[in-house]
Amino acid sequence: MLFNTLTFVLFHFVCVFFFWSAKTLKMRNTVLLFASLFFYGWYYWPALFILVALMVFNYFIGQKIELTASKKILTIGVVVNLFSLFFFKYSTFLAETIVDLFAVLNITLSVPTLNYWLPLGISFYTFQIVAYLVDVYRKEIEAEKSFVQFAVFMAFYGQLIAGPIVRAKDFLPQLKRVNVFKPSSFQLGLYYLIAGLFIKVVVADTLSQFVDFGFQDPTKLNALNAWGTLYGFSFQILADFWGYSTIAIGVGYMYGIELPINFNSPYIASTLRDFWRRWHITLSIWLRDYLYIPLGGNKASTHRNLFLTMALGGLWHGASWNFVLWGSGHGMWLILERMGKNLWFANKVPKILKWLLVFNGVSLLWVFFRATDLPNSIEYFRALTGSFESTIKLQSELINQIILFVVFCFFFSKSLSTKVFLDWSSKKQITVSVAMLLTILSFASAKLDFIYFVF
Amino acid sequence: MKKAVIYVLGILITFASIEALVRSNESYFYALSDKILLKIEFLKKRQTDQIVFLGTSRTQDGLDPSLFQKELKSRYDIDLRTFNAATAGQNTNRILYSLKRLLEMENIETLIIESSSVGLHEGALGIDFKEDTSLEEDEVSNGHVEDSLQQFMVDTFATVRVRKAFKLKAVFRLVMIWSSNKYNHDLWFMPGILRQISFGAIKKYEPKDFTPYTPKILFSKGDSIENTSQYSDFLKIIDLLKNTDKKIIFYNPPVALENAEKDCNASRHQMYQSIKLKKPTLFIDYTCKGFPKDSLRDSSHLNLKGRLYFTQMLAHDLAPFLKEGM
Repeated sequence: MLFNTLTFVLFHFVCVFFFWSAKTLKMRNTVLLFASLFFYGWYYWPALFILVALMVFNYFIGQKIELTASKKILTIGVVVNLFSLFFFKYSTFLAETIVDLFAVLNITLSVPTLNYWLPLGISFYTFQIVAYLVDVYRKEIEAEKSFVQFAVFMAFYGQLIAGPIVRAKDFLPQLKRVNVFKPSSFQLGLYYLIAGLFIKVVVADTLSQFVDFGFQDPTKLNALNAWGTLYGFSFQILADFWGYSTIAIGVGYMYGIELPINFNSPYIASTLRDFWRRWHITLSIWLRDYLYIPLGGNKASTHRNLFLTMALGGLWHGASWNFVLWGSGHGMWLILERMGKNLWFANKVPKILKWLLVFNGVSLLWVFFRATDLPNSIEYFRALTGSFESTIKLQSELINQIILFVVFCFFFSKSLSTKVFLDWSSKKQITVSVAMLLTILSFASAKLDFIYFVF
Repeated sequence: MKKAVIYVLGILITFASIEALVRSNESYFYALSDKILLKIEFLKKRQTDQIVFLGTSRTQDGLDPSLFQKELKSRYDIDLRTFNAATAGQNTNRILYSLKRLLEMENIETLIIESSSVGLHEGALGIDFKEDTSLEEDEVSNGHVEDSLQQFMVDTFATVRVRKAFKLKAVFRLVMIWSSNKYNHDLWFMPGILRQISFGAIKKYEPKDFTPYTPKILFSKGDSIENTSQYSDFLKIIDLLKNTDKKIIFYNPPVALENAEKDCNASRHQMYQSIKLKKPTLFIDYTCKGFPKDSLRDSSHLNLKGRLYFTQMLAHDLAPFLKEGM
C-alpha cells in the first residue's frame, strides 16, 4: 500500500478510529499490530510469513540474550537477521559478481539465479532489529516482554517500509503510553501527513518525469540539460524520501507516537559531515553506533573505519556496484575533509563556496545512485562535461519545480522538523493545509513508487 | 482540544464550500482545468466566431487568427471572425470531444481541422467527467481497489473532477476568460513566446507582399491504406462530421525544408483521397512545401515569423472556398 494512494488514506483513518476507540492499551497495540500486518500483506501477502517468522525469532532471541548475556546468542541473532537480508537482497548480486570475475579470466561459470521477491522494507527492519538485539546485549534496554508490543516495534506501518529507523529505547516506551488521546498530537500528525503528501506528489513525482527521461539515454542530453536533470534528481530524491519520512512521522503523531525526524535541510550543509548529520539522520546514527564505533571509530584506523562504514552504507542502499561507488565516494570525501580541516586555508574559504562545493559534489555522486549501472553513469558524466549546444531546450517546468521546492523549503522546513505548527494561528493552519491539499489534488495523477521502497 | 477541532472542521468546511462553489460553476472550473476546455469556454463566451481552427500545437503556433481575419477582409473582402482552438497535446479523443462541442455552436460556419499524424492517435481524454473517466492501470496487486476509490471520488466530488483548475497557471486562464472578448490571447498559448518576443521576432518581421503558392489539393489515386490506425482515427472524425452543414476543411501544416520530402508522402495522399469519397471535404497539404529554418522553432512548429507568413498563405489559399462555398 503506497502512502500516496487513496487506499492508504482510507485505511489509515479507519485504523486511527479503531485505535482510539479501543478501551485498553493492549487492545490499542493489537489494533496497531493487525493494521501493520494488513498494510504489509496488502502489497504481497507471502512476504508476511518472512516478517512474522523474524518477529517470533527475534522476540525469543531477545529474551534469551537478556537472560544469558551471551555474545554467542547475540551473534546468532545478528547473523540470522543479516542472512535474511543478504539472501533476499544480495545473493543474486554476489552470484553475478562471481560470474563476472571468472569471465575476466575467460572461465564461464553458470550460477543459478534465484528470482524471488524482495520483501519490502527488509533493509530497514533488519537494521532496526539488529540494533535492538545489540542494545539488549549491551543492557541499554530490557528485552520486550509483550510480544504484541515487540511486533508493533518491528512492523509499525508508519515507518516499516522506508524508515525512519527507530530505536527500541525511544519507541517501545511510547507503546506503553498510548492511553491518552492528545488532540494537538493528532492535529500535528494531520499536518505532517498533508505536508508529506505535498512534497511527494507535487515535487518528487513531477521531477521524476524529467529525471527518468534524462537518465534513460544521457547521450541525448547536452551539458545544460544534464546539469539541470542532475539538480532535478538531487531535489527529487530529497523530496521523495523527505516526503515519505514526513508522512511516517505524521502517521505516528496521529497514534500519539513520536518518530525521529530524518531530514533537516541537508542541502544547506557546507561540509559533507554536516550533510550526513542532516540527511537520513536515523541511518547516519545507526551506521555510527552499530558499524563505525564497533569497527574502532575514532580510536584506531579512523580513515579505514570511515571508508568501510560509508561503502557498506552505500551497499545497504542497493545490490549494485553503483551504490558501493556512491558510498565509497562519500567515504573518500569524508576522509579528505577530515585531513584538510586543519590546513591553514580551511577556515579562510568563504562559506558560500563550501556550500557550493558540497551541493555540487553531493549532486555529482548522485549520478552513481540514480544511474542504472556503471556504463550509464559514465554516459551521464560524459553528458555533464559535453557540449552546451543542443536543439533541446532545458525544460522550464523542471526549473519551475525546483524553484517551487526551494521556496517551499524556505517557508515550511522548520514546521516539519519542530512543533512550531501548533503555535500558528488557526487561520494560518487551515489556509496552509487547504492550499496544500488543493495542490496535491491538482497534481494527483502520477502513480509512482517511493524511491526508498526498493531498499 | 478547541484548536484541533477548529483545524479539522476548518479544513472540512473550506472543502465543502469549495465543492459548493465548483458545483454551481462546474463548466467554468473545467475551463480552468484544461486547455481545450478553456478555448471552448472562450468560444461560448464570444459567440461570434465563424471560422474555427482545430488541431495540435502545430496549428496553435502556426496560425494567427487575427491576421487571418484581417487578410481575408483586406485582400478578399471576406468578413469572418476567426478563432484558433488548437492546443498542444491533441489526440483523436480530444479532437472528437472538441468537435462535438464546436458542432453544437450555431455561430461557427467553417471548421478548419489539422489532419497531421501528430494529432491522429489514440490517447486519453485527460479530463475527468462522471461518465467519461479513464483511469490508468495500477501496478500494485490490489490496484482495482485503488481504481474503484478513485472512480468513487471522481463520481462524487466535483472538486476532484476539476482538480487541475487548482494549479497555479489556472489563475492566468481565469484572467484570459475574463478578458476573452477584448483581447486575442492566442499568442500566450505558444511555448517560449516571451523568449520569441524578447528576441524581437515580431518587430523584425514585416509581412511582405505574399508570393502565391498553389497548395497540393489532393486528387491522387492509389491502393487502399484503410488498415492503418491513422486512417481509422480519421474516419471517426469524418463520421462525426457527416451530417453537419458546416464547411469542413482539412489541412496539414508546413514543416522544415529538410523534412518536407519525408512528410509529404504518397500514402497520406491516398488516405485523404479515400476519405474524400466518404465525405466531400477539402484537403490541403502544406508539408510538401518546406519552410526555411528561420520560419520554424523546431522541425515541425512555426515560429512567429513563420506563423505570420503561413497565415497569409493560408488566407490566400482558402479565400476562394470561404467566399464561394465548396
